[in-house]
This record gives sequence, structure tokens and C-alpha cells, in this order.
Amino acid sequence: MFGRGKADRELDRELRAYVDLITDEKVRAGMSPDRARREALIEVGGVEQVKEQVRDVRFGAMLDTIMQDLRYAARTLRNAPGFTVAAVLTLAIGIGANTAIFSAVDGVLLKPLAFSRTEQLVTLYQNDRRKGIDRDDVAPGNFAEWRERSSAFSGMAAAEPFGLVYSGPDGEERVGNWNVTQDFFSVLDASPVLGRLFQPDDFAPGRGNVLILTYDSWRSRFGGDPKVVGRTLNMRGTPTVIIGVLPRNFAYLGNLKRYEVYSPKVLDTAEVKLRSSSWYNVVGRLRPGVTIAQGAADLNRIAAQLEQEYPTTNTGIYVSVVPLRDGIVGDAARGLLLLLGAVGFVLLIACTNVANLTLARTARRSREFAVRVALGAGPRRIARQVLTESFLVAAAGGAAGTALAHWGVGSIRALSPASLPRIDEMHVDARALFFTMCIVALTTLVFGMLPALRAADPDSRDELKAGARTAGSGIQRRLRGLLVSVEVALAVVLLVGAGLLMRSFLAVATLDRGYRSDHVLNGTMFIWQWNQTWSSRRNFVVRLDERLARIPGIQAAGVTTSLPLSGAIGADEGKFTVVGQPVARGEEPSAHVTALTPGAFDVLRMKLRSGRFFTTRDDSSGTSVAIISETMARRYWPGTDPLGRRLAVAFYGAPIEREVVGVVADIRQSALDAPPEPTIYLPHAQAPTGGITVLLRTTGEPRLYARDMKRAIAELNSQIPVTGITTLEEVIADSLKARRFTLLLFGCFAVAALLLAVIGVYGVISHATTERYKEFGVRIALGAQRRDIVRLVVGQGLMSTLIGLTLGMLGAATLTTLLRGMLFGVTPFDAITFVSVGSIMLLTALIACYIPARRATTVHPVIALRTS
Amino acid sequence: MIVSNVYWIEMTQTNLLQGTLDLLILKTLTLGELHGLGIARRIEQITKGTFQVKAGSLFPALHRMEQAGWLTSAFGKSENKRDAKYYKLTKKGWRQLEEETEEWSRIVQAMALALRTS
Repeated sequence: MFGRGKADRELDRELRAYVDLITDEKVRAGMSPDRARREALIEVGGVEQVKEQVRDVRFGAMLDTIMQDLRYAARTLRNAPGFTVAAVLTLAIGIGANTAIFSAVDGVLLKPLAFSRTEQLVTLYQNDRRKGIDRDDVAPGNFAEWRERSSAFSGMAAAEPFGLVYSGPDGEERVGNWNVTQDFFSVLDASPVLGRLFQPDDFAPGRGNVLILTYDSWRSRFGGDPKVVGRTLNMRGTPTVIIGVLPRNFAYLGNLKRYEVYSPKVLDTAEVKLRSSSWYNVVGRLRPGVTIAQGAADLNRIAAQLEQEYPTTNTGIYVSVVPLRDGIVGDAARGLLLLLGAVGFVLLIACTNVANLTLARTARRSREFAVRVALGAGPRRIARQVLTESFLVAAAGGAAGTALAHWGVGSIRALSPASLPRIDEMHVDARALFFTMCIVALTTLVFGMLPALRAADPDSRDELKAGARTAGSGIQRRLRGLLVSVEVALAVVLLVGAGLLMRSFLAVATLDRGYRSDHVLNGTMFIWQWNQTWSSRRNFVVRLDERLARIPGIQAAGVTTSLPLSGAIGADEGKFTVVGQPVARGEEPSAHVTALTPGAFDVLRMKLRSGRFFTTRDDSSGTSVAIISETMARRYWPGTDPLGRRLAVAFYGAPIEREVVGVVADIRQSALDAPPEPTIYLPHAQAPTGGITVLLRTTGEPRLYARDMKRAIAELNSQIPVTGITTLEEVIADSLKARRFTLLLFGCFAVAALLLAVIGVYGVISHATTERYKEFGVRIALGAQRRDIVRLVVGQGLMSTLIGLTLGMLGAATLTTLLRGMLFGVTPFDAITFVSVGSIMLLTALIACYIPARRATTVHPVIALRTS
Repeated sequence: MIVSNVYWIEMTQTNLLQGTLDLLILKTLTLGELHGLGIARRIEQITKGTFQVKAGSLFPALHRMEQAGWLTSAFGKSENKRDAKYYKLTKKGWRQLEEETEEWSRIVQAMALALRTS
């Protein structure tokens, strides 16, 4: 039936035999063998022709049968609307969710990057072996040496994220920008859709006021204007010319909405020698024929040389070479694959449910099958018929699921964190549709096979031919009980996963942050251009502080150089030594350093553990002071009081000795789920850096004070733009977005799984109960109490549920270790989660069993015995 | 030598008598399983050479009937040790023979009646 090859070979053999037989006949009649053969061939009249005719017949017959099956299946399904709707909807949920998540995975992970010969492209990281960080940004000096000395690469380029401020007609706005070195686009081998890319003279010192737009920003900001090239934009007072537009899907790092423009990175001689600080993203193109391993070996050889030459900065600094795609996608891959796994479970449960429905239906249709067998249909034909029905159901589910996925993808995109790269490439497209078709085929097999086999099994038919409708077949019932156990187990695994993610989310969200985030408005400004000296910057900030504090309705105002969870706007790390604990040069520990005004402590309601906060007297004329975080205190003065101790902190210049005057509660700077770093706070008046964040603690809605904040700043200097005005709550919400995204989707899948599993339990128990009405009638007639009947029915359902629950718990205990990296504050074997999931599952299953059980008790013995 | 009869009818696919060929094949197989050439020769024999079945119509018919579930087939050895594919009737094939025989007799009677009266 399947495989043209076998049928063709057999036909060949058959015809050859036929010719031989005729030849034999003729030989027996006295002809010479040669002549006999020739005449036989003539009589056959062209073996190939005959073969072709047979093939036509076979194909036609196959089509006929398929069409016949399809028509018949459609008719049967139309006659069972309840079953059809339930099955199609169940599958639509399963398939739709899978298509949606596949679209996300495809867009982010699978689709080829928009660069040519991608397999040669790699991202290069510093591998700090001493700190154990294998994917660190690259120091400019190291990048320069690698590029200079390596022969494995045909090109190497660096990029640094560098926000620009666009002074548009609607005010000022921060624009995501990559500053890229000269050969960046030639390494990636990109060509523009409009204008040109960078040329060497764009990088000449004093030039560089040009930029290239991404395709998306060209479309969204300039409406796809074909004459955009040559236009001059006002980038924070600097006229900058648009010279080109990048092709669609040119996504380097991060997603397209975050990075809208590319600018030339003009290297200055001091920067290219810098090795102590690293912030470059480096991309390289391997020479043809050079493998990633060879490239890595070459770079690590160079790194070893650099380690010898510059021991203070380069000890333990090696190189990680990873395919560009990994570099771009980064951590997003794990979350997405996890979701894909979860959604696969949902589909499995959906399939199990539909398999159960189909099984029940097959049992009911046993007479129909018996009739068809009597009429000459073979078991294979019956099985095929049932499979065809399953296929129609799956196809309808696939169609409805695709519609669902289309809507789902929109939601995923809206929910997705800004850190999810290439999200713009996520669509329900031909690839997703192909995936859906594969899923439909697979689904058909998964849920249709079992019923098809059962329908074709003569034993099951004989049993039912007798018309016995008591307890159904034992095998049948056990099989369906097993399916219920399987779906309960799958649902339990998802619920445990969702539970753990939720507990982690709550743990992160309700963490003691060491400050209060409500009613805080913040905005960022860069003042160095207008205040070039330390004293002018200091004065500006002092006056700004005073002016801000006079805004009506303000409880407190302050300025800080690094706001938690917001990313760096200037240097935020410094090396230090504890006075009296000498270390070797180059071995100095480093800490997070924040310079702030006294008001900032007040705005953030930071918690003082001992000592004091800064005051206005901690200025340039006062003693040099510092406040440290608890972690810092614990790590460097374990068991002793750090107050009054001295630190030498290097921050924007040579180390300055400072006295510790206070200890404050820890603040998680980089991420809520990362352990707090040791932190040193300095009075801004003693470390007046130029990138500052203005903070206001307001009464009432903080956003309403945005205009007051701008006005207060404009009164001091109307030229300095304030950007990124947000509330601190929004900053925190943003930092939780990635976690929320995973939790929300995972949670949805888990809830869907629970619902489907419960529907499955209900369906099976309800069906089994209906089948046993007669038996119950007899039991009641013989004096059984309603309670006994309920216990009988519920007991049967609970048995399957308990088996499923046990299997699910075991599965969860194995699989949740995959979640380990995403958990926070809970272990993968968190008892609370496991117990709650178990209770929820049992309770819902109990309800699902109780409803049919109640119905069974209302059976009137006489009526039950009279039916059938 | 094959004896050619003047009254032979060459059966082709497009022939109106396709149903006739099916019926003849079914009939020849009632005596037991036969290979392709055996079926063709038996049809010649029982129709006294009126019907000569060529490979170009025989094999498509056999395969069509097999697909319809009237026949099953298996490879075996012929009387003179040749490899050959043997066909035999299925339950469905027996019923089909019964129905078609009845159908055919009705047609024959109707035709006879029509030819007599006109």
C-alpha cells in the first residue's frame, strides 16, 4: 500500500514471470527459445506500457479510497457535533500554543541571521579565568592586540552601545545607538538598502557626524522616506547626517527597537591602549577553512603572550569564541526552549484527551464497525477509516490553532522583555505553518493510532458484538484509565514548574531591596559638556539639588550617579584598598561605586545600619568620607565595626583616602536576582561626575512631576536635555519583565494543562459511569447505599489520578532541575510547591469525579435494568 | 501455437465490457488460485477462445480488483518452477462475484427480451 518502490518491484517481478511463462508455453509448443521469447514480448505488447497502466489504476484507486474515506469521515463527524467540537477545540489550544511558541523560537533562534556566510562569524569575549566569567566584554586594548596579531581572522570589529539624544520636534529623546569601528559592516558583509555604509573618512578625527538607520527606524520614524539619505538630524546640538539605511532584519545585538542607529566609533590613542576596563562587543570573521576551535586556539595563544607582557591587567584574561548566533541570542535561548518544552506537554495532554474521546466513541461505534467487517472491510481498512477521522479532526484543530497562534504571537511580542533579541523576526509565517502541518500529522498519529488499533482489533469487536454494555471491556477501561494517569502526570510536571517559577518571581519581587521604590521619579542628564571642571559640576549639582527641593509637593530630592537596575550612565566601579591591608599592585579589589547627594538617601529611603548618611557638609572642604554597604562591611571587616576605618578609593582619578562614616543596607544594583555587590557610596560633592540621575520623592503620582522636574533643570541650564524620565516602579517592573514573561506563558500552559487533564478525568469517569448504569441499578436494587456508589465511581477516578500524580511528581523532580538557573529563593524540590500542586490536582480531580458520581446515585434501578 | 478464433474480442480498458472482464476473472478464480497467465488462458478456455485477454488489460484489472479488496495475491512457484504471482478470491470477492453474476443475468435477460420484442 505504501511506498512506490516495493509495489513497483513486485509488479516488475510479476510481469517478468508472465513473459517467462508465455515463453515456456511457446517452447513447449516447439518454438526455439529465442524466437519464443521475442514472440512472447510482442504478445505482451510493451512491458513498460503495461506497467504504466497498472500504476495509473493503482494511483486512481488510492485516490478513490482516500476521497471515500474523507467523505465518510466528514459525514460521521458531522453526525457527532459534540465530539467534533470538543476534540477540535482541545487540539486547537494545543496546536495553537505550539505554533505560537515555535514562531517565537524560530524568529529568535532558528531563522538565519541577515548576514552572509554566517558560519564564519563569531563573537569574541574575554574569558576571565580568575573570576570565572567566560563571556565578558572586551577591553579596547585587548581588541586592538587581537586584531593586530591574529592570522585566523579575515576581519574583526568592535561595537559599543552608546545612547544618543535626538532633539526632535517633540522634544528630546534617547535613541539606542551602536558606535562601531571602521570595518564593522565589512566584517558582517552587509550592504545598505539606501545610501552607503561607513567609509574610512567617516572615522577621521573631528568627523564622525554621520549615522546609519536600521530598516525599522527608517520605516517607523521616517515613514520609509526614500529621500531620507542626506537629511540632517539634530543629535543633542550636533548636526548629524543620515548616510544610509540598513537592510531589514539586520539585527546585531539586542532587538531592533532598542538599537535604531549606528554611528562611527572614532578610536583615540588613549582608548586603544586601555586594558583595565572592558566594554566592547567584538565580532570576528574567520578566514575560510578556519574552524572556531582553531580561531580560539590562535587568540588564546595571543592572550597568553599578553598575559606575559601586561601582567597587571591581563593575568588570567583569555578569549571565548562563540558562533555569532549564540552571542546574539545569549540567555534568551534557554527560556524559549523551556517554553517550547512546556507547550509540547500541553499538546501531549490535548492529544491524550482527544485519544480518550475517540476511544470512547470507537467503543460506542463497535456495532457500526462490526457491520462494516461483515460487509468485507478488513481491519486495516477500519483502522484507516478511524485514522482519517482523526486526521480531519487534527486538521480542523490545526486551522483553528493557527488562528489562535496568530493572536498569541501578538501577545507574546507585547509581553516580551526588551532583552529578547530578534523578537521582530517573529511571525506566523510559512515556516510556522509547515511546523503546524507536521504537528497535525504527528497529532493524528499520536491520538488516532490507539483508537484505530482498538477499532481494528477483532477481539474488542467480538466482545461488543454480543451487545453487552455492562462494564465495557476490561482492557478498554484500563487503557483509558492509563491515559488519564498520563495526562495527570504531564499536567503535574507543568504545574510544579509553574509553581516554582511563581515562587521565584514572588521571591524576587518581594525581596527586601534596601530602598523604597514607590513615589520616585527619575530622569537622566549629562552635564559635563556644560560643566567641564569639577568645581562647576559640583556647584551645578548643589544648586540643582536646592532648586529641586523647592518644587511644591516634593518630599525629597537628590542626585545619584547610578540608579539601581538602570544600567550604567558613567563609571560605576572603582578599585579600592583598605588602609592597613596592603595588596600587590594590580590585585586591588573593586566595588560598585555610587556618588550621590545627601537628598538621594532620603528619596530612596535607604536603610542606615550604623553611622550616619552624608550631609551638605561632606563637600570639597570637608573630610573625605564614604558609606559602605553591609556586604562590603561583612567582607572586608568581618566581625569588626567598620565605622572610622579608612579606604583608598580610585574613582575618576587617583585613589583618595576616605573615612567610613556609615553602613547602609544592601542594594541589588545590576539585577534583583543577582547577589548584592560590595558597594561604596561617595558624596557627589567629593566625586562630581558628569552623568547624573535626578531623583524626586513625590506626594501622589510621580509622573505628574515630570514637567516640574524639567522646568527646575531648565531654570539652571535650558540646554541640557533630560532623558528617560520614568518612575522607579517602572524601572523595577522592566527588570522583572523577562521573568514575568516566562512565568506568564509557563503559567498559562500549566493552567491549560490542568484544565485539559481535569476535563480528561471528567470525560473518562463520566463515560465509565454511564456504561455502568445497569450495574449500579442492580447494586441499588440489592441494597447498596448512594454513598457506596459514589465511593465506587470516585474511587475509580482517584486511582488513575493518584497514579498520575505519583508519576508526575517523580517526573517533576527529575525535570525541574532544568529550571535551576531560573529559580530564585526556592530549590527545585520545594516542598510547598509540590504539596500545593498535589492538593490542587487531587481536589480538581475529586470534583471532576464527584459530578458523574452524583449522577450515578440518581439511577432508578428499574429504569436502569430496563434500558438496553 | 495459439489458435486464433475469428470471433475473438480483444478486451481493452476503454471497452464497454470492462465489467465483463472483472466478472470473468472472478469466475475463473472460483476454482482456486491462479497466476496472471493462468487466468488469461482459463478465460480463453471457458469462453472457447471468444475472449483473449492481453497483458495491458489483464494486469490493470487484477491490480484494481486487488485494491478493491476482491483479490489477494502472493508470489509462489508455477508448475514448471517459475516465479509467479498467484491471485485468489477474498470473501469480498466472492460476494462481488455473486452480485455481478446476478446483475449480469438481469442484463442478459433484459437484452434478450429487448431484442426479441423489437
